[in-house]
This record gives sequence, structure tokens and C-alpha cells, in this order.
Amino acid sequence: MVSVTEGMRGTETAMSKPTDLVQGTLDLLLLKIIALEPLHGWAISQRLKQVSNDQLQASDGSVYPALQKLELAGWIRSEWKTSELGRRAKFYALTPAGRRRLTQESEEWQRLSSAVSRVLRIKEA
Amino acid sequence: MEWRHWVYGIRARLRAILGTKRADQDIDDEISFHVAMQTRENQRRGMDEVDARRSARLTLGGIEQTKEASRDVHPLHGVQTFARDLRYAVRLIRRSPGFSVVMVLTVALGIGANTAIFSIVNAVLLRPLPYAEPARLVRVYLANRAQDITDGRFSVPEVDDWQARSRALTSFSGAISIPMILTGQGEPTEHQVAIVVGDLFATLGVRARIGRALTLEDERQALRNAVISERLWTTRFARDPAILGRTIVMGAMPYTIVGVMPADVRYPESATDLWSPESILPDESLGPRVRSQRQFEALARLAPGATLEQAQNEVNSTAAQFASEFAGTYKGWSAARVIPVRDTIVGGVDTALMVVLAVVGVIMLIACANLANMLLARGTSRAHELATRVALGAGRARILRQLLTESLALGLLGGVLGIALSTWGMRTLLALSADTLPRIEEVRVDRAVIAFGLLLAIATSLLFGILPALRSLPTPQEGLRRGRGTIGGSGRLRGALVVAQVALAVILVIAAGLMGRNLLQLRSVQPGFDPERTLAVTIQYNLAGATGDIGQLLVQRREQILQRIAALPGVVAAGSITRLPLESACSDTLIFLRADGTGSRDGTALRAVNCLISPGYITAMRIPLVRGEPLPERWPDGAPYPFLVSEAAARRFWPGQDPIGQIVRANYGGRATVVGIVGDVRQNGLAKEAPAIVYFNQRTAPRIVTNIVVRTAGDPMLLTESIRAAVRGIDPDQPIRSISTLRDVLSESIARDRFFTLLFALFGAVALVLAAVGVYGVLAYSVGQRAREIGVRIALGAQVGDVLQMVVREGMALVVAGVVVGAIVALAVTRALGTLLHDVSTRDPLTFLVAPGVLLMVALLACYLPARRATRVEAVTALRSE
Repeated sequence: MVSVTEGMRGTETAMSKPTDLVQGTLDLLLLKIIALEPLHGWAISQRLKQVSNDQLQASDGSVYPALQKLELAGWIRSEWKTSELGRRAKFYALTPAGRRRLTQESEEWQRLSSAVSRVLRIKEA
Repeated sequence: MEWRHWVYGIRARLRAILGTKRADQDIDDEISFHVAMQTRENQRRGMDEVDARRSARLTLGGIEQTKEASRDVHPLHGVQTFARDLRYAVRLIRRSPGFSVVMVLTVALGIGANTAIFSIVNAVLLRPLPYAEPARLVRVYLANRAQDITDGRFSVPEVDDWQARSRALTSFSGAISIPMILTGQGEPTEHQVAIVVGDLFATLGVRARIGRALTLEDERQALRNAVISERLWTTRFARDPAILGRTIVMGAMPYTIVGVMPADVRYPESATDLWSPESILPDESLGPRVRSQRQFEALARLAPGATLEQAQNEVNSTAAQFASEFAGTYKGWSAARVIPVRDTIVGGVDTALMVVLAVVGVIMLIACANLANMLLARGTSRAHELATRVALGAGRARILRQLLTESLALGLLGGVLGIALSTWGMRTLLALSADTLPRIEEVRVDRAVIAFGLLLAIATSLLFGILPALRSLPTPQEGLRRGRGTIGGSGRLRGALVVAQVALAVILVIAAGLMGRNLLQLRSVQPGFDPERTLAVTIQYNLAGATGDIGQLLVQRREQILQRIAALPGVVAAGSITRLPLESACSDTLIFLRADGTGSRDGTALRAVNCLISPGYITAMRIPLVRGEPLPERWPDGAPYPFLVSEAAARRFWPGQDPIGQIVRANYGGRATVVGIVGDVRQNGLAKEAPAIVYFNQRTAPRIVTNIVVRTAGDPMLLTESIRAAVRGIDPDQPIRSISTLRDVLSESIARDRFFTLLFALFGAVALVLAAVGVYGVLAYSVGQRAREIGVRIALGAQVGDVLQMVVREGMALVVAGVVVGAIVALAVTRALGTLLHDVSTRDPLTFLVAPGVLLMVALLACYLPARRATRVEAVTALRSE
């Protein structure tokens, strides 16, 4: 019975959830990417890979639940438009609330990361 | 800030709620667009089309998985999934009606039994008493180690003193219940009257329904005020609101009614009809108001913040203080006990009821094992369907959820049916319990009971659903590779379930056996009188239009009736007593005897059960006169009252002395002297040791209700008509309350034991059947699965006996394991039955041998049936069917 449950948990993790570190910052990255210009899901996932130099160990699919969440929270909105290839695609754009959220989150991230860097720079005595 | 987010999210949320189909479609389109784009990108990098599409799906992390994860974000998605699963479950239920009906009925029976028992437990044990903060209400008992008394009462001065000295207890009050006769309201009737010391109603924390409660002022000024029960108000005064201020005559004394208590106030007795202050009683009507006259049941409240332990410690030291201050009157009275009122009311049945609740809980577990086994067997045949769905991309969590929804649908269906069944079961139980449980009048199916049933149904569904569901889940690696209709490893799980349910059944059968032995033992106890060929006739004297001295009238009536009955042909002897032996609460008001030999007022107060009888009673009951004279019918005025003592009383009061001729002072009268010693009678019940009894002539305190015992030469029931006629001959309007044989009275006295034994026997039998069905089911299934193997064996020349033996051995191995485990566990847990058993050990060897034996026999039958089927396997057919 134990092995069964563990096996189950194993498949769930492998499915499409990003690692813990990314989980917290994925929202921020997505907001930032969308802030530059309205994009559809595939472009967003490509952009995510590019800007992070493939360092994010997440599957392409993981952006979709995250986008759904951001939209429900009111930070982005979506619209079906014709894409560059002539096929209809769902484009995401930032809302004013999303823009404020982005500013706020970025500042918080800056503060946190500089604090972490400072700690890591301490030389061992 | 937050609300704006919310406003922006509204559109998406509305879409999620209103247009779920569209939202789903959106996600589908979006994902397929993604895959198309990625495929193109991959092709651009030089992959061929098939590889490009495959790689696109891989980097996405699975198409269905991504869709599912995206849908999960939506707030109502869970509900929709559940609704969809539920629809699917209902379809499945309808597709296999036979399977579903058995499942639902099993659940319904389990839930019905559990809910019915719970409705009783809820009313008797769980629902709070109708007093303010009932958990803080306690009874206080004085204890005398030397006399082995742990439930001593309080005297009037003691109630006042303890009120003054207690810190951990507040609002100390006392009450005693006495039968009195109401006159001046048409026909005189007998009622329980509570004599109150202190502020009883403040202690209880109850308010009058109309008017007011008694207060300390009534006591201090000795006002002849009384509060009556709602029952008396209804039956005798037609709920007349003008009752307040009216005067009624109770026990030949006038009282002014100042209030009516609500119907649920039942203290000190459940039948109490009137409360009045003690201070208004004439001096010495209850005996002198001295410290040693301990007749009042003390009631108090835990002070705010005080715990039961603090109160217990305090009463012990208070008792010790008094014992040293009044060394003369407090010999041995140096301890006390504090007991929550609730325990004093339900104390006799709380363990019993909890054990019964546990027993039906175990039945539910056994039923769960059967249900799980049925699901496991079906899971095997559904393995292919599930594997296909996994292969098509359904998440394992998703499938698990759907399987659990299916068992939930079955469970809830059974639960609702079970709750409906439980109302019927509850009524049956109440009829069977024959008024042997306290607070039984409060039993009903209320919201708590329904909630219990539903929660139990849900918990049960998850319990019997989870194992088979987990077991049915194919791993993605296995997928479709596994063949159709086979499943590995579930055989061992099914075996374990059988062992578990057999073990549980053994425990219940052993418990039922112990209860049965106990009942047999009780029935063989000698009551101290001869119950054969004897009738008990209960009469409430008709006093309509009676005037003058009621006591004198009652004595006359009794003598007339006894003479008429004794003169009937076929009657050997007749006598009367106020309360029949063995009847619940038959102990008459306890009285005090001063055993100093001089009849003076000082000296030790002793208690005994006081039976008021006609002299013929002892002969009619065939209670042996051990020594001395029978009770005389009359005695000279001014001489001490003659009375009889039981052997237990003689030993207790005059150890090493001759009781005959001893002079004592009786509580209700003056001096009294022992004229004879009679055999012991189990007056308070067969399960209780014979108490110390004193027998006084009924003339000393006539009562309206009396019991006439009639010993007959032949079948006693043949005489009932002539007895009725004889009574009518004296007064055509004289009703007879009941006529029954003493055998019936004896049998009635163990009704509670019989009730619980019946419950145990019933549940033991159910457990036995369920376990047998479980063994049968698993074995039958296994035979079906192994038909091919058995066919091969038969084809190779195996004999009928070999096959039979093989199958039976497989089943009995599980059964024996279960029986052994169950018997060992039973050794540990039957201790819980301790308070229910009287003369039987909780490890009675005979029961521990016979009960498992019965189970083995039944299980052998359950194994034999599938085994016989196995011997009929046609080798060729079995081989062909694969």
C-alpha cells in the first residue's frame, strides 16, 4: 500500500509541476514577460526558456495553470487574436493591477535577493 | 487594492462559472495551438514530422495532464468533477443492479444498527441534563469505612454546616423523596413529595414554568409554600393558570402553591410531584433534627474554577474535621465522595451502552471488510478499463477520486436507507428495553442522530473504498501490458480482510457467549422466597369520597381484601407488602435504627431496607422464619412496635449478640423490638447481595399502593378472575393495577440484563453471518479464478476429495488464523464487559472454547460450499474458457 501511494506521488511530481524554487518566482517571471508585450502561451514558454538560459527545470506545460491562476487573480487578461501564422491564439496582456503587482513583487525580489547575496558574501573567518 | 484585483478577476471568474464548457474549450484550443507551434519549431530544427510532434508533447509534459492541471485552477472545477464522477457512479450502479443492491443493503443494515444505537446513547448519555451547567452539578455522599457505607446521606444541620465550610463546592442543598397522599381534590392519590433543605432550585439552576421556585426565604420563615410538577399541574389541575396561590392538602398538611416546575425537572426522583421546605414539617415527623439523622441526598455545584478533584479532596478533609469535632456522633463518618449528577443517573448503563455502541461499530467494520472484498473482486474485472484510461492520460489521482466517488455514492445511498431503517430499529429497541434505561423517554431521531448516520456513511464509504481503489490503480508502466481480468497480489489483501473480519466476529461471539452465561447464572440465583404458584396483585386503594382518618381506612381496606382473598378456594396463603422484592427502586425509604439496646436517642444510627408488610406476607412468600416469633397482627398500646429482621440485618446490627428482644428506636415511630429473624431476600435485585431488611407491620405507615401476594395450590393464573371478583365485592369501583405471577416479577427484574444479552446475541449472530459470507465470497471468487488450474488437476486425475480438501484448507487456514487472533484479542478486551457480568469471569474458559468452536463450524460450512463447486469443474470447459 505504501509503495502504491508513493508511486502515485511520484507520477504527480513528474507531471508538470515546476520545482519549489521556481514555483514562487514563476508568477513574477510570467508577469515580467507579459509586461513587455502581449504574448500567447507558446511564445511565453519560449521566452521563459530563452531568458532563463534553460535553467528552469519546468516543462512547457507548467505555464498554462500558472497563466490561469494569474488571470483569475485579475493580474492579466486574455484575448483570442490571430497569431503571426494566421491561426487563432490566446494572447495575454497585463492589467493595471498586474502592473502594480509586478512592481511590488520585483521590489520584494530585489530586496530578498540582495539580502541573500549579502549573506553569501560573508567570508568565513 | 485587493478588491480591485477581485474586480479585474470577475470576468475570468464569471466565465469559469457560467461558461465552463467554453473555458474547457479555451484550454483545449490553447494547448493544441501550443503543440502545433512547438511541432513547427521542432521541424524547423530538422526533425521529421512524427518526431517533432512527439517531442512537442514531451516538452509540454503531457497534453491531458496540462489540460487537467489548468482546469484544476478554476474554483468550481472540483464540484464539476465530482458531479461528473457522481453521474458516472450512478450509471455504474444501475448497470450492475445485483452487485449494487447487495452493497447498498449491507451499508444500510450497518448504518441502521449504528444509528439506532446512537440515538439511544445520544439521549441517555450525550444530551446534557436540563439544568444550568449540568456538568458542574454533583452529588455528595458521606462515607463510613467502619460500616462499609459509601453512599451516606446528610442530616439537616450537616447541609447547613457544609454550605458554610465548603469552598470548592457552592450552593449546598439536600432533598429526600417521600410518598404522600393528596386529598381534597376528588379521589385521593399517592405522589412523591420532595422535602428540601437549602436552596435546591438555585443549585439545580432551574426556573419555574409559572410562578416562582422555592427560595431560602421559604425555608427561613417556615412558609407552607410548595412548588408542583408540570405533571401534577396537568393531571390534577388541568393546567389551570390560576393554580398559583391555591391551597392543596398533601399528607394531611395544607400547602400554598407558589410555582410549577417544567416537566424535565426530575429531581430527586423522576416521579417527584411536589417540593416543599423541610422547616415546615412538624418536629420529629422525619425524626429529630440532629446530626445523626442522615436522610437527605446532598446536591451541590462545583465553585467557579474548582475541579472535581479539588472538591473531592476538600470534602474528605471537611468530613474528617467534623469527625474530630463531634467525636461521639461521627464514629467512622470521616470521608466523603463527590460524584457528578449525570453519573448517578446513568451510572448503571453508561459502560453497557458504550460497549454496545462499540459492538455495532465492530459490525460495521466486518461489513466494511465484505464490501471492500466485493469491490476488490469487481476492481479485478475493471482493471482493463482503468488501465485504458491511464494509458489515455488520466492522472492516477483523478482515477482514485473517481473510484472513491463511486463508493461514496453507494455508501450515501445505503446511509440514507439506513437512517430510515434506524427509526424503525430504534422503536424496536425501545420496545425491547422495556423501560430499563434511564432518560429513555428522551430518545428520538434528531439532527445529531441524522448527522451521525450521514458522517458514518461517508467515513464507511471511504474506509471500504480506499483499499480496493488503491489496489485497482494500474501503474502507468504496467498500463495495458497486464492481461485482461487478472490482477496480482490482491489475493493476499483479500485474505487479510477475511482474517480481520473473522477475528472481529470471534470477539463479538465470545462477548455474546459471556452475556448469555451471565444471564443463565442470574436465573439460577435463589431469590430467598419461593416464586412458584404465586400471584402478585398491585392495588391502588380507591379512596373516592373518603373522609376522616385515611390511615385507619387503608388498614381496614387491606384487612378486608386480604381476608376475602385468603378465603377463596385454591388460595393457600395471602399477605401484602408496600414494594415487591426485585422491582427496580424497590428499596423503601431507608430508615435508621438506634442499636444501643435502650431505645434512647443517642448512639449509632444504622440503615436498613424498610419493608412494610402484613404478617401473612412471610408465610405467603415462604420466607423461612429462622428463629423467634412471626410478626403479630396487633400489640398493646404503648408497647414497643414488634418487627422482624433478616439474617443479614441481624449479623450487621448485633454481631455476636442475640437480636431477639433488642429494643431500638425506629425512625418513623417510637421504640421497637425485634421478635423474630427471617431468611435473607434479594430485595434489591438478583444481582445484588441480600441487604439488611427490617419488616414492620403495615399499620405503622399505611400506603395507598400495596402489593398482595397470593400463594395458590394450582395454576395461579386460573385464580385471577376470582381475585378480581373478590376485590370488586368489597368496592365495585376498586381498580386493580396489575396481576402477574411472581415468576414474571422475577423475570422482569432481570429485564435490563436480558435486554443487553439480547443485543449482544443479535449482534454476535450478525457478525457470524457477515464473517461467513466474507469467507464464502472470497473462496468462491478464488475458485472461479482458479477454475483453469482446478480443471488441469482434475484432468490429470485429481480425486474429488483432493480438490475438496485443497479448497477447504485454503479457506480454513484464514479462518483459523482469524479465530486465534480474535480469541487472543478477546482475552484483553472482554474486560470492558466487567460491569455487565455478575457471577461470570470475563475470561470464562467454557465461553472461550465454545464460541470459537461455533465460528469454526459455521466457517467450515462457508468453505464447503465453494469447495463443492470446485469439484464440479469440467476440465475441458475450464481449459477452453481461457
